[in-house]
Amino acid sequence: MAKGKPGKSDVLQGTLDLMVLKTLEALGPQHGYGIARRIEQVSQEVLRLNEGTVYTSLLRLQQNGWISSDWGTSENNRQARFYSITRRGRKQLARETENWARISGVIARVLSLAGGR
Amino acid sequence: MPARLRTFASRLARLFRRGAPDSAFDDELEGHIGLLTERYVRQGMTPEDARYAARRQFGNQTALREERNEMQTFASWDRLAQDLRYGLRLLVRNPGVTAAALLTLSLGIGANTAVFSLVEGLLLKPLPYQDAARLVVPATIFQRHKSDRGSVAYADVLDWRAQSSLFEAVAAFRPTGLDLTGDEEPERVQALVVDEDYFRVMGRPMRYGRPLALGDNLPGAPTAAVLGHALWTRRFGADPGVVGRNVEINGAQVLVAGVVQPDSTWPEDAEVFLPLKIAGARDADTLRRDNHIYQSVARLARGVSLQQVQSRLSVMGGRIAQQFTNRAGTNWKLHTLAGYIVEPYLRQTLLVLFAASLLVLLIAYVNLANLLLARGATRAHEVAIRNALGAGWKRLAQQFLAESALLALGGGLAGILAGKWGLKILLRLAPPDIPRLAGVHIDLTVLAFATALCLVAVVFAGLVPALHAARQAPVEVLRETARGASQGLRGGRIRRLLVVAEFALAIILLTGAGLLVRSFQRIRRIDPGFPTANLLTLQVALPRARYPGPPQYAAGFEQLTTSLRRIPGVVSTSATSSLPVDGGGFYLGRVFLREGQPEPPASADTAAAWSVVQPGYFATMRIPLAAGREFTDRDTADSPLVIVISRAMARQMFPNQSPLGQRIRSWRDENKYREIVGVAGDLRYNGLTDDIGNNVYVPHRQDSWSRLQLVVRTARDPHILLSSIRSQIWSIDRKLSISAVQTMDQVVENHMAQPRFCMFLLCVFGGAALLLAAIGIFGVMAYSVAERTREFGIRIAMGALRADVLRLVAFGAVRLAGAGILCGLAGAFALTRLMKALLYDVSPTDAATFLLVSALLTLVALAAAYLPAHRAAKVDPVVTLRYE
Repeated sequence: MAKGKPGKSDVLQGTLDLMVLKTLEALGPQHGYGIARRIEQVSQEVLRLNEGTVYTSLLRLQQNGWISSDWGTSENNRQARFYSITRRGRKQLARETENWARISGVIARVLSLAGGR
Repeated sequence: MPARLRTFASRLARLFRRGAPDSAFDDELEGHIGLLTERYVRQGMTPEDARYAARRQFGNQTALREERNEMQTFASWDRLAQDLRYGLRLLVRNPGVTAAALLTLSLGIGANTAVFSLVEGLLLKPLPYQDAARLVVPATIFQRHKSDRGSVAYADVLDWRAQSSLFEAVAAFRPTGLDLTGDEEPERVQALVVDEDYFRVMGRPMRYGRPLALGDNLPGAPTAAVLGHALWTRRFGADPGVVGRNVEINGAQVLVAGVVQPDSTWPEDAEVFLPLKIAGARDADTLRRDNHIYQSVARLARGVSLQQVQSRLSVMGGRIAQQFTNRAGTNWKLHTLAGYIVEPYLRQTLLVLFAASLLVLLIAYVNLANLLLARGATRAHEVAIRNALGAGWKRLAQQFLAESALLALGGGLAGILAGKWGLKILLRLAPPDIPRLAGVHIDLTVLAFATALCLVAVVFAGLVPALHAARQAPVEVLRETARGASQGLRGGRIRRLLVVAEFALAIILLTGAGLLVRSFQRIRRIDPGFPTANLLTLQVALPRARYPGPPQYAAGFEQLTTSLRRIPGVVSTSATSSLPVDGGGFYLGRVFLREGQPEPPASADTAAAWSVVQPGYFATMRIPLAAGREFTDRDTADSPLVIVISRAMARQMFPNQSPLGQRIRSWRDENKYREIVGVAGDLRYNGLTDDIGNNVYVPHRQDSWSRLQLVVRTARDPHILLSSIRSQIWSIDRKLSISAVQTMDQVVENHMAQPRFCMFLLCVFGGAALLLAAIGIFGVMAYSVAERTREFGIRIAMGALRADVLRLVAFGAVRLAGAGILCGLAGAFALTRLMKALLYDVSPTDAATFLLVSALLTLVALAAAYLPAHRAAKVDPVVTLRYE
């Protein structure tokens, strides 16, 4: 799919949720723009992101009760919604991180196995 | 789970705020884009470019908003409503298909609603009696008559009553007819003469007064009566004051002891209860083991099962059969009351009808699926595009299901209405002697059943096309439709399979119907042994109060028949104790010995039914006399005892000699020698389909009964003489009650009512199945011809004759029908034996019926293929190929 631009990958839905959650845990309360910048920065532009999808992710996380939101004032003195991770969100993040590590480990092993032949 | 619950809650909350623009969210998105823009401006872009780049990086805002809406509300509800709307629009747009589907479904559901009402009311609904599960009917098994519903001896009842661990109470009773006389018009009612346990067995307290108890049943006690609820409301105006008063029954004054509650006693037609008065009887005749003149009903003790009691009774009954020679070849059978009321023949009829209606329903389902599939085929293009655009198969299935749900709703409602109407017809056609019919109507259980049928229709008719659509790769469909070849092969194959199934089901149904028709023809052809036209029968009982003994009975009936003869239009009259073809009266079985023949077990006696007749009986009935004479006025109480025997009996007792002048006696009962003066033609007494049995006739003056059936041979339709016959009888005795007035033709008709009922319904169902199968095969053939237009065009262009094309299509139809017929014949072969009990003189695997039905269905298939075949043959190659 993403053949045209090697090095860039589409972001999987579940992965984005995980990244957003992790960002909020690491940086504390953030608005959507801040989250998008952080992901951009951390991924060193490897991940190509429609920044709007961050909001879908935020909605989803909020519906699940893993994050909460509040209105505040952003750096440029604008009204913005600030999101912060909840206690349940932290637990979920721990669970998902562990899951992710396990699965990516397995996948990595499988892939390296195939590559060795 | 809690997370999901929270989602649900937030969606629910959102449901009430729907439609309000969510400006906060929009502000948030705008804020984000603003920050991005500022960033690009800082990097040196013009504000315009920066804004554009920011929007691009942000992505599709509209899609985001929609996604958010969907996440926050119940989008599936919206989709369902959308699907329903879309389905409705499609249904309206194809009125032909929709009407066919609705008609098919309402036919299937209607038939099942009606038949299931019968099954539920007669077989499934519990009896209205107190704790009815413990009510049982002990009966005698007579191996000689292949019957397990025989009446019982009083000594048997006493034996059972002694087993208090098995039975809580055991009653003996005898149904009889009574005349209610007095100031009002005499009325004949059904009555029960019951012993002291009867009301304890039935178990329900009285509405008023007291039940008949032991004191009423001691010999010599004053007679008391208990009134049935219906009679009490009808004749006594529901007046509680009637208890303790006297009423006139059979011309005698009887004290009313009580009134029962409605629906609390069995048999349900009994309206008066009188005591048997044999409690503690010690006389030999009452206690004789072969005096099978009672019926019994009993209540099982708590905690014992029917099987336990039955096995105990079998042991006891076996011992009695060994102990008493007059009980050889008998035992006891315990019926549940429910099983006794709905006798096996009726039960079988109901089950066959139910099976037939289910078959019709199956065909209806198949047809429905076929119709939707056909429509699905014309929509293949649309479905393929939606599939290609990313609609998953679940989404497509939902669409199809919504559509079939709409159809099922409409078809179901129409079906229930049709069922209500059908039930009315069923009840009108139903034979008059079916018990419990009053309790048959469409109730909640029936409605639940009909609803379940609708749900099955939704799933079946919706899923078949949905699965089919899901299995097709959109690319191929699009390629095919683009090429104009329309639908792929697989859809055609499913539809052909469905048609084969329809034919198979139809042939099972039609074979069943065909067998019943043939059986009914056989019954129709049975010769009752005498001409039944212009013959009126009625029952008269002479009350003991004014006709104290046998001489008065004889004189009374002679006065009646002679005076009836004076009515213009009456050809001749006579009287008998029992009428052939189950026409009424009392059937008395006796056993006979020739003069000099030793008594059993040294030799075998001959059983025969004993009838008491007036002189002129054979002439009036026009029963042919094979030899000798019939009774005359000279056969009196003082003249030598005489008897007329039937031909079958003559052959059996006197194989190689003339029976005339021989003497026989009924050795266990009357035990007097009677001289045979005549041999009469054979008759069937227990109904048309009964085997020919032995019969003997004796003159009424030599054995005078107080209740006889009068027979009146008329010159023309006997109905027009009815009122003059009545007034003639009442001019002799105003207080005589006349009952069971019917022509002999009616008797014969009534006897054929049940087989006719079953045959008629099965033919209706078979016709419906035939119609549905024809529609099914027509649809498939028409479709496949349309599909293959180009092929036919090429064939004709290449030199094929139109007859060849015609044959090709016809052959296709016959092949489909043939496959269905073969499967159906196998099914019919397996299933028709289940209806063996309903068939008279026809084998369940009657080859002629199977052949005929197969031929019929093949013809129907050919007829249905006629139009499509002609269309195929008329294909103009130039037009079709240019059209390409």
